Formats: sequence, structure tokens, C-alpha cells
Amino acid sequence: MKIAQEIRTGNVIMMGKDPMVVLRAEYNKSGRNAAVVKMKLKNLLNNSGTETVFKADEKMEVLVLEKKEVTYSYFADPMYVFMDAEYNQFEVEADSMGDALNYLDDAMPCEVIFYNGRAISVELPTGLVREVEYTEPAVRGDTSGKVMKPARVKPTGFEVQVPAFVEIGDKIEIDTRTGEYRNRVK
Amino acid sequence: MFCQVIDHLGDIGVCLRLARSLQALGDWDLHIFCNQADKARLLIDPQVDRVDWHAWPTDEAYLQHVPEVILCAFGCDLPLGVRRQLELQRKNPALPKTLWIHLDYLSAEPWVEDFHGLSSYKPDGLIQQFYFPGFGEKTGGLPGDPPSLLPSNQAQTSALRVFAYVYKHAPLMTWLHALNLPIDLLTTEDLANHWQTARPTTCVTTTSCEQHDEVGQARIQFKTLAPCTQIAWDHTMLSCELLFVRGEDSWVQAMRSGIPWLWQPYPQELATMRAKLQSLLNIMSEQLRKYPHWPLWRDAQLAWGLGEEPDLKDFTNLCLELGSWQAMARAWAAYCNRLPRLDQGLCHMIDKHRSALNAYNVRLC
Repeated sequence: MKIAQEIRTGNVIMMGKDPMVVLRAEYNKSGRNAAVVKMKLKNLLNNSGTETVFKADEKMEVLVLEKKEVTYSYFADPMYVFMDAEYNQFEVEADSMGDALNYLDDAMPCEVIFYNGRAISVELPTGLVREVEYTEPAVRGDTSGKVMKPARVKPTGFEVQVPAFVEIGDKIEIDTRTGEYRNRVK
Repeated sequence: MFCQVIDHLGDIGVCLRLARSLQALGDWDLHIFCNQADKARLLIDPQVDRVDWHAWPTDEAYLQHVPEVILCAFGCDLPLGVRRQLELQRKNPALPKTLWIHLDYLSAEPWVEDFHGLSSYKPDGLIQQFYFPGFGEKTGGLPGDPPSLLPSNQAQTSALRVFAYVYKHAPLMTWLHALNLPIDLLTTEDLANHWQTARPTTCVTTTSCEQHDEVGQARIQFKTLAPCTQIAWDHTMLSCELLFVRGEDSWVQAMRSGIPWLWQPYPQELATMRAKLQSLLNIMSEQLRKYPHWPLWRDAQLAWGLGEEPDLKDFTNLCLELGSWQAMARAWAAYCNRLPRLDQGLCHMIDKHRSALNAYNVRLC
């Protein structure tokens, strides 16, 4: 069992008798230290999608599924193709990629998850380093790290909130679970 | 309604106000289950509030009748026995299904619109509807109700009448002393005691309920509020000229009143509080940016809410321009009072549930 706030994109949870793959999990603090998690799910039996919400501390059953280490190879609309060390190819539907699309890069290592022998989603490392493609110049004087600004990262153009001191060309580490900036990488 | 008192009576205050306004909207048989029902009963005015209060059921207890609607205020868990009743009800297709609502806290953050109204599917097959109050059109609406008539300002004194219901760590004395004004401070007994105990030993105490604090530049006269009904509490708060409020219930009523206010959110991680405050101030800015003193209110609110070092000169200027602050507070109140309301939104959700049930029953027949 895991609690809702521990659930990540690519996990498969049981909802009644249906295995549901998590395409996106969005966590927010409500009040008095309580928090809620919104999930976009896809039913692995009939491919129907749904959005749902949980209290962050709600317990849920997570299926332990077969995973394989792969690298991203190419996109053949509508399938993303991954390859393992033995050059076996695995296809994942674009709809099942979830937030992984924000970080996808050529030859990026990740894990493909299987359900009943079918590749159903990908799981990314929790932290990824990406180069800032564009961000507004910093306003002089504020180096506290409290003031945030948007930054577009390579190669997908995904937008991340970064501290004001981050500049174009900097490499930053992003938490792929939350889409948030972690730190600047030297 | 199920409600658990966490620190004070603010949560139950929201429930009581909601119950009162729901009853004004329709014919309800309303019951509130509270873990501190005896304390909560202090808030009730028997002339106005027609609500049955119950102690929190034990985990073994079953309700005599499974209600048509169950509302868990602020995300509290249902007692196990009641939860079991809902499971049994779900398994029997002949029984009408209860609408089970999770009512969350008020927040001005944009994500609330995306979360409001979603269903939560439980492992046991039960479904709970998540309801998020908020400021946007797509949220569950604003709690509270517009004050019908503000009490006349008790202007027998030239002192500034300040109402304070805040968390104890709030540096209220620092802010008030900066004003260099005579002040009547209406606050709860424990807060008055806290500030008077914490002050330097050079202060002079006169009586237990009216004490003069000579420290600093302001002359502050404490007037303590005895435990009272919610209506009496509102009346006192709305008779003041400046409100320092906290949590949700008093904050919403302050916003709806048109009286200048500063809000202290529930203490959480600084980043969380900042996000909540900044979201509120963004919405307020859209309504108030034409007012020249808006930046002073905005900055004072941010510093007060986050417990940061204030610019007390700016805060003093804001208070000296009280008429301008009042104009902004009235404009904001007018905006809030035009927003969708929590009680009406809930009624709409319940009506939809009833219609779906009726359609289901027709199909069964």
C-alpha cells in the first residue's frame, strides 16, 4: 500500500477491480497542512480515462509490475518507441506517456512498465538535468532565491519556475514528480 | 455534517454558518456531528439556529437513518460505523445512494478550479465528491454570507476600534504601537492575557478586563470578548474599524463586511502560505489596483500574513488614510458578495444528485 502523495506517473493502482495507470499526478496543499492529489488515470482493461482526486494521505493498492530499463529511441505517431540493451523495441501510446513528454530526449534512459506483457507507460528518474533555453534576465538585487520566474528548457520547451538568478544556458535539475526546480547544476 | 474541531471554533463556525444559510435556502433536516459538540453549542443562538448537534459517533455506532447527503467538513474522516453503513448501502441496489461530499478549505489558488467537483473513487467502491470553495467562477463559491446590516460604529470614543482574532505568534503589539493612536483592542481573553504577559514589566495594569498598556507610542485599551454566540461575535467584529483575523470563518466575514482587514493564514510551510497569500493578492489587485493606497494594503497583508518584517511607516500611513482603506475594503466586499456562494453551489450539487437518483429509480421501475 502507498499513500496518494507517493503515487507517481506510471504507477498502476487498483480502483475497485480495475487496474488504472497513473498518467499524471498533481499535488497541492489545501489548508491546515492537509493536501490533495489529482490524478489522471487510464483503465488498463478498457482504455477509458478518468480524472479523480484523493486526500494526500489516503491509502491505495499499487500493483508491482514488470519494468525494463530502456532508452528512448524515436516517435512513430502515435507510438513512442523505446529500446533495451538487447535492441528489443517497446512501443508506448502517446496518450499513456503523461508528464514524461515534458522531459523526453534522444537516448534518455528510463523504465518501461508492462501489464500483461503490454508496455503501458514509462517511469522517469526522479531528477533530470536540463539546459535552460530561454528565461527573462534577472532583476538586479534579488539573489534570495525566493523570487521565481518561468524558464523554458531544452529539448521539449517545457516551462519550469526557477529562481531569478538562473540564466539562459544554465543547467538545472528538475524534480520530475512535481515538475519543480531543484537546483542549479555546475 | 461532520466536523472536527482542531484548534478553535473556526471550522465549526463555518459549518454553523453554512447550516444556517442552507436552511434559509430550503427545507433541511440538518444534523451536525462534532467532536466537541458541547463547546460548539456555545456558538448557537437558539432563536436563529435550528440545527441538531450531536457528539461524534463512536466507530461502532450506526446512524438511525442513512442521510441523503453527508458532508465531511475540511476533509475529516467519517466514523467507521457510518462508513460501513455507506458500504452496505452501496451493495444494495434497492437503497438510495447517499451523496458523500468532502468540503475543503477556502483557497484563492488557481488549482482549486481544476480540483473542484471531481469524484474520488475509494478502494471499497464508494465515491466521494470533492468540493473546493474559492473565488473563481468554476470553484464551489465563497463561504459565509454578506452581513445584512453593519452595526453602527460605537463612536463614543475617539480611539481606533481594532478587532483581533489571530494566532498567538502574531506581532500585533509591534504593529499597533507603530500607529501612535489611542486604540480600543477587542480580542479574546487568552490573547489579551498573552499580550499582557508578554509585554515589558514597566506596563501598568488597571483592571482585569480594561487594561491600559503604556508601552510604546500607542495607548491600547484591551476589551476582552467573553465566549458568545456566532451572531454576537459577528456583531462585535463588525462594530470595529480595523480587523485582524485568522483562519477562514472570521476572514470571510471580514472580507464580506467592507471593513479594513488583515488576514493571518493558518501557519504552514512558508512557501505554502506565500502561494496562498499571493494568489489572493493577485485577485484583489485586479479589483483594487486603481486605488492609490492599494500597494500599501497589499504589502501590509503580505508582511502580516507571512510574519515578515513590516514597513511600519507604510502601515501607519495606511491607517491614517482609513477612509481610503475603507473604500478599498468596500470595493473588495462588493466583489466578494457578487461571487458564487458556497451554500448555493452545494444546493446545486445536491439537486443534480437528486435528479440522477430519480432518473435511476425511473429506470428501475
